[in-house]
Amino acid sequence: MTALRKGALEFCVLALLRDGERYGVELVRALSAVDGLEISEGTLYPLLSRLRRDGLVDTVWRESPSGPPRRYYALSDRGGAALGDFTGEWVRFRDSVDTLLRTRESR
Amino acid sequence: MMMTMTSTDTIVADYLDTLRAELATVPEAVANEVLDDISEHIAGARADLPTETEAAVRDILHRLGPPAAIAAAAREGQPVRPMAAPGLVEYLVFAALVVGPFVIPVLLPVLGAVLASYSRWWTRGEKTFAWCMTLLPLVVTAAVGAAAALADVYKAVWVLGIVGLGGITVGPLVAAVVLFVRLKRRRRLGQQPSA
Repeated sequence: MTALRKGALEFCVLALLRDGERYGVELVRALSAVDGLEISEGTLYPLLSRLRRDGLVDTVWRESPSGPPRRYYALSDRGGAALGDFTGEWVRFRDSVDTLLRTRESR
Repeated sequence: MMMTMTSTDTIVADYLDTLRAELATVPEAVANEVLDDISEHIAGARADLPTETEAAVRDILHRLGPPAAIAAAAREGQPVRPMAAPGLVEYLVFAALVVGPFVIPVLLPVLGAVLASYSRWWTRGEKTFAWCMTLLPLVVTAAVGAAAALADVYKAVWVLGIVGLGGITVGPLVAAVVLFVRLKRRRRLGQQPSA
């Protein structure tokens, strides 16, 4: 279950960025609030830095009205393509698993 | 106001120090990036607080989670930093302390203690112990020798011979054994030499 969660996590990050850029703190708070993911905010940063390195997200610094400048995360073209691929595969995977689970239950 | 600022700053600094220590086995570039990201997160989240209280800052850190968990996430899929191995300096220390007294007494064991002081594999306490075991026999020999010489010159030769030769060889040997055991245990526990 942990492996499954981990694998899906990076696509959850990309999905959250689909509708526009997000500030780091806001992004990790949104993810840690997702039911069933069970992650603490801090453990998301190593993942975010991996996504940056792999070019799946872009980051940009913006001045903030209060406090230090903030880093905003945005979906890159590559990230968008990866998210599209995953979405298709995920739906197939989920349907297959659901079918198997349901077959077992009905016996 | 100043008091709360200071105490919350300390809480944050402690958290980051622990994280830095937990990240010791993660490649440096990755470790630094994670540290920067987490520092940035804390700074941003603190700036977002309407009023900064100790409880609010603790909550920010609590939500980030334990530093060990963050380090574990950073370590995933990363090559672990290769374990440092004891080098020439450490082997020379053992040679100088164990065999040294029989080759050039006094001088070689002292050289061994000097080398041990430069090694990152031993703590300050262990280095001090090695120095004591090397130098103490010399001091004791000199003192006992002087006292014996005052009483009886002939006896002084015997006392010096036994106490001196014994202490000068056994002292460094004990130091070497202790340094060896500590080094071995440190390696078994996977601890890196201190910076």
